[in-house]
Amino acid sequence: MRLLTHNFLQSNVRGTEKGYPLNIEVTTIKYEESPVDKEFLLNLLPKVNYNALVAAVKQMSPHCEQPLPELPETMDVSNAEQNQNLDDATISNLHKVLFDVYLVEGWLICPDTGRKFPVKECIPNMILHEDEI
Amino acid sequence: MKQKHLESCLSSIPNRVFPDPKIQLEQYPTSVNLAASIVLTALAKGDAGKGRTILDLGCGTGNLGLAFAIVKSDFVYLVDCDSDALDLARENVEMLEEEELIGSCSEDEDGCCMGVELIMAKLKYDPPKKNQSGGGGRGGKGRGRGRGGGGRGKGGRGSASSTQPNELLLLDPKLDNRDDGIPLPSKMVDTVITNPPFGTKNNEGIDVQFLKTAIRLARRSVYSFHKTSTRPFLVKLLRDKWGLNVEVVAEMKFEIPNMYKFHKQKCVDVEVDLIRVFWEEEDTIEDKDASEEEESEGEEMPLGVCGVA
Repeated sequence: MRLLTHNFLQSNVRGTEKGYPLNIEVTTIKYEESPVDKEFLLNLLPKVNYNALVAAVKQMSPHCEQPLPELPETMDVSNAEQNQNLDDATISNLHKVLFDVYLVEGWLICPDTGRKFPVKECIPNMILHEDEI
Repeated sequence: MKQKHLESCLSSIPNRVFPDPKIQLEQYPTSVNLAASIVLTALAKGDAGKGRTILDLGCGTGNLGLAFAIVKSDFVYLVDCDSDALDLARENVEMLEEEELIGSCSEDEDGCCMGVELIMAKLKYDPPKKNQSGGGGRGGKGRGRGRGGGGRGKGGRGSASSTQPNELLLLDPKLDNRDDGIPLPSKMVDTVITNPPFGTKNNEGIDVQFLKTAIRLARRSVYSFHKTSTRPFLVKLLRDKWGLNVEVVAEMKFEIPNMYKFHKQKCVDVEVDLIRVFWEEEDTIEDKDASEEEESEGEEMPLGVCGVA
C-alpha cells in the first residue's frame, strides 16, 4: 500500500465520526523508486489531504533505511494553479512519499475507535465484522 | 492501441480465471475480447488513458481493471472483498510490472500507468426482505392454547412470499453518502468500472448497490454490466430518479462457462448490457452522436426477476 492510497482510506466502523486519517503501525515497508510524472502529480495534488500525508510520513519514516524526504509542515495544495509554481525538488519529494514507499505488513488504526485493520502483502484489509457495520 | 494488441497483452496475464470460484460472489471471469472492447470504448469516450484514474469495484483477478492500466490510464485501484481473488490480482500486477506495462514510464514516452493498488473491502448489502404473506400471526385457531409453542400454522413459509427491493437501496446516491462499506471518499477517481454480481443468487439488488457505490466514487463516468432484462428498470432509476445521464454502450452475450455444479449446460448465454453513466463536463463535449441512445420503455421491472443462469 502506497501512501497515496492511505491518503484516501478511511475507517467505516460503526461509531466512527471521521475515521480519518488512519494511523500507521509499521511491521515492514519497502521503497521502490519510480520515475516522476510531473503532470500526473500536479493533477493529483489538489485531491491530496496534505496534513494526513505529513502525519503518515512521520509514522513511516523511522522505519525506512534512508529517511523519507522531509515535507514542509504545512502547505496548501488545494489550488491547482498555485501548484504550478512548485519547484522540482518539492515535486520530486511529494512523488517519493506518495508513490515510492509501501507499507508491506502492518496495521492501519482507526483514530476514533482504535480498530486495527491489517495490511498483508501490501493489501489493506478494510472488511468490517458483522457487528461493526 | 489496437484491439488485437490489447487482447494479446491481456492474454499474457497469468491468473485470468478463478481456480476455485465462489458461488455467492458470482465470480465469472471477464473474457479478454470483452475487456479489450470495453477499454477501447472508454478510451474513445475519454474515460480512460492518460489523465484518467480508474477504480475497478469487485475486480476479481483484475482482468478488467488491468486492461485500463495497459492503455496507460494514470492510476488504477482494484477493490474486492475476496482475499484469494486479490492474491491472484496481485500476481497479475507483478507480472505486468515485470513486462513494463505498468509503472516504468521513461521520459521520452507518452507516459504510462503509474501504478496499481489493491484494497480489500466489502460492499454493504442488505438482502431484500421477504414478504411472508402466508406467514406468522394468522393461523388463528389453536394459537396459544394447548401445547403452547406452535403458533404459526403450516402455511408458514408459504410460496406466496414475494421479493421487495430494498427502499434504501433506491435512494439517490448523493443523499445516502458513504455508508456502503467501501472506505473511500466520494469522487475519488475519474472512472469506475464494475462487473457486479447480477443478483440472482438470493442477492437481489446487489447489482444496484454496486452501481450506486460506483456512482459515488466516480467524477466522470461509470461502466457497469447488467442483465438486459433489467434495463427498463435501471434506466428509469438512473435517469428519472437519480437524474443522471445514462447510455447503453454495448449489448452482448456473456458466455458463462459451467463452473458450478448446479449449471447443467456447458455454457449459459446471458444477455447483458454495458451501461455508461456519465456527467457532462464543460471541456469534453466532443462527439455528441446519440445514435445509440435507447429510450426507456417506461415499464417498471422489479429487481432480480430476471432468469436464473
